[in-house]
Amino acid sequence: MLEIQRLYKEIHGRPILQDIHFGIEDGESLAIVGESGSGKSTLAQLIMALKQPTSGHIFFDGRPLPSKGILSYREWYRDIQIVFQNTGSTLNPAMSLFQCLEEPLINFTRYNRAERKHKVLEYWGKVGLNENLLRNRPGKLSGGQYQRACLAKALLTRPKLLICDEMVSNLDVLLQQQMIELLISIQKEQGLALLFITHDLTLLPGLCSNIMVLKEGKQVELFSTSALYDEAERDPYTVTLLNSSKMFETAWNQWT
Amino acid sequence: MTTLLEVKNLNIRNKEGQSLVHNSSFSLETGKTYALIGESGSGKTLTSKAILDMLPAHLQMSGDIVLQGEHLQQLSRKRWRSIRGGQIGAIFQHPEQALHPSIPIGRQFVDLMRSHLPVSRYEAEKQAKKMLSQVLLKDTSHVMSSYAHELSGGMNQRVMIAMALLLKPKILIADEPTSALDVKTQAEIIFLLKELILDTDMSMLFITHDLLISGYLADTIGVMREGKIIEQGSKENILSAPEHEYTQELCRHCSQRFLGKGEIPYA
Amino acid sequence: MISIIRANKLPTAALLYIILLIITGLAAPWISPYDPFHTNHQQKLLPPSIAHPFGTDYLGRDLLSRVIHGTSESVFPVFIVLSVVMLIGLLVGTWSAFLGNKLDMLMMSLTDIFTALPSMLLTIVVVGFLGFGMENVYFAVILSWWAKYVRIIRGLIHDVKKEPYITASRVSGAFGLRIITRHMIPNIMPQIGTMLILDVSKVILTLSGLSFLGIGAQPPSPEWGVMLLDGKNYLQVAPWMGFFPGFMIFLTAASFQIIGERLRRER
Repeated sequence: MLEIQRLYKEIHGRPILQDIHFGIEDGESLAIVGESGSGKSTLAQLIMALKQPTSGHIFFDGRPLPSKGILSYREWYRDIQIVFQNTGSTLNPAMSLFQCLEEPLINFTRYNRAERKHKVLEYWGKVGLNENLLRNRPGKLSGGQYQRACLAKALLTRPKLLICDEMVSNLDVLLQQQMIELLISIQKEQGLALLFITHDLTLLPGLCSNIMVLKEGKQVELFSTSALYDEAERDPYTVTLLNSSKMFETAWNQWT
Repeated sequence: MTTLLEVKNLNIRNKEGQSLVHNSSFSLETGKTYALIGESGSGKTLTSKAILDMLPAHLQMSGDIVLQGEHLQQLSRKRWRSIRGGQIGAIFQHPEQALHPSIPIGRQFVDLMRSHLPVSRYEAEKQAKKMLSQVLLKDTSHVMSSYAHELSGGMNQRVMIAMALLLKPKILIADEPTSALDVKTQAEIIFLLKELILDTDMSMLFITHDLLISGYLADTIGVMREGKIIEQGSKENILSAPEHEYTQELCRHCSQRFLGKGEIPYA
Repeated sequence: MISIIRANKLPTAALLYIILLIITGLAAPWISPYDPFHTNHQQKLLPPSIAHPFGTDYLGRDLLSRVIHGTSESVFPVFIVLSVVMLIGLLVGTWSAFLGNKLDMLMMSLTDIFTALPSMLLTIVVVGFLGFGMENVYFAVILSWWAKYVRIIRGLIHDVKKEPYITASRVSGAFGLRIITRHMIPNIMPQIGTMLILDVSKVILTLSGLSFLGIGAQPPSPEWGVMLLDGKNYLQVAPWMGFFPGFMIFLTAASFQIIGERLRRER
């Protein structure tokens, strides 16, 4: 479905991404893991056509990445949606939450007012938020609620692929877990493909079937999640990332 | 074992009279680490700010904060400031915001040192280099001449730690120092803090939302929720037999993160 | 509501005054006690009394009636001038910042020239070319003010452009004009509104100042600046002739300033 071939990106002459190539099939879920500065967010921006690659190709269902013309962009975004990292400013602060969520429906569909309202309410409930919140401005929401609202907004137009760029990184641990569980259930229900970008390997089991590790803009390895703890087969860098949480784990097992 | 810092019946209210921190009491012992755990909005950061006298002006606090027998609230602003700089060091979630953006790191160290101690510029620079190498920064002279925005998040946090330790404080207050970092850098910083605590007889108040990190770092754990400390005790007791429902949930969650090692729930 | 008023006594008073002023200006023909242009040589230069609360001028015209009628000539044009200036600013500034290409640079050089010119000088030159009269003065004032608004609005849009919610709105299918009208402008409106209100007093002072110099409104117009000019000649014999129009200019300018400052503090 999504096909990335020999993708390179340079910013101010500095290589950010080098020779990235992978694909995502219908309903598949892939995780991209790397430290900050590994180029994983740039990759998300390239797939969302918010930046243009220096060279290489991105195809979705055979269509190339849009570069001009509103119509081709619209077509692209109808199929691919993204949830950004929680910075508290990805929803327009001057609009009510209902208006924020209505936005993609106005732009992508021909629903009338009543249908739009019905849809927004449906998805608002699906991500587990209270109907009364819809009248508020985005600033009233807590971090967890904010990300749920963004998720609902991304899912409203029923995209085929959802990209989550560090979606849970700024949240408390319990909220992270709830969010991952919500994603798993929605993915099962809607059968959408998922590209989950994170720095935390421990979030992935249960959510993603494949993992790609990114280091300084280069693809280190791509493997099935079931082989994650198979240290003999893993790249040394992947093992280092895994071991980051090991020292906590040892202390933990000692006391519980 | 002596008590270094004691917080008794701390209350923080906002202007509308809403209670943000309610009757919190805890104590920090010499050479030990106390971890205060809670979700965002639970009042854990406000508690640390109260100890540092950095509460926003519209909040009112009452209660007693005792540092080595001195009641901090009865002291003059000036005396408190010298105590804060000399005996309590602090690091925060966003070091980029705490460091001056347009003064090189090295000069910030020298200025800080010379404003508290009568040392020469040369001496201060030597001390700064020593501190920086102690926090495992390799190229110290390069770091000294850099600006905060030129360094990565992990590097900046190391610089902050070095700066907090420069005046050899008795207490280090660490407010979510690793929440903005990725897991690998986080592990490195936490490891560094643990080493520093073991090497010196410094105490630490560690504020976090991650029970896992506290399990590694702390001697005593306090769990805070909705402005109240709902449970506190030694790490052993809290982790092996949590009493409060919320603590149990946190523990369950942490254990779940290590499910696997061969038995991955995803097939 | 009451608590808001109690905390903002001065701004509330200023707001009340402005509302009252606008109503007075609109209802001038019905509420003014005398015809503002009717001369009566038996009653010239009378001090304030019950029959003539503000006194009469050197032609025996009732000053209160003239001040009331003057509102629509002294205050209302300011709103029109500022609306035009804001409209130009929004159109040119947004367009310039949104495209951000060579035209943007050209536009900025052009506005540079206009902001560098002293506005009073520019106005006098324009009026000198086009001749006396209020319309020419409005045109001249617009000419000397538009550049400031273009620059500020361009700067605001430029900042808003980098906000994550603008990127997010693209992904939600909003492009071009839709991004500008739905996502950018609503977010800069609070800043522009505050700036407009603060500028009302400046434009009032400019317009009445030009009339006072004799190049704006011409006698027998009851514009406050013109009345002030009349009063200047009789300052020793009839100080009320200058006092009342001058006081009205002061009160109105001060009220808008107070409200503007209050709004600015809000953010």
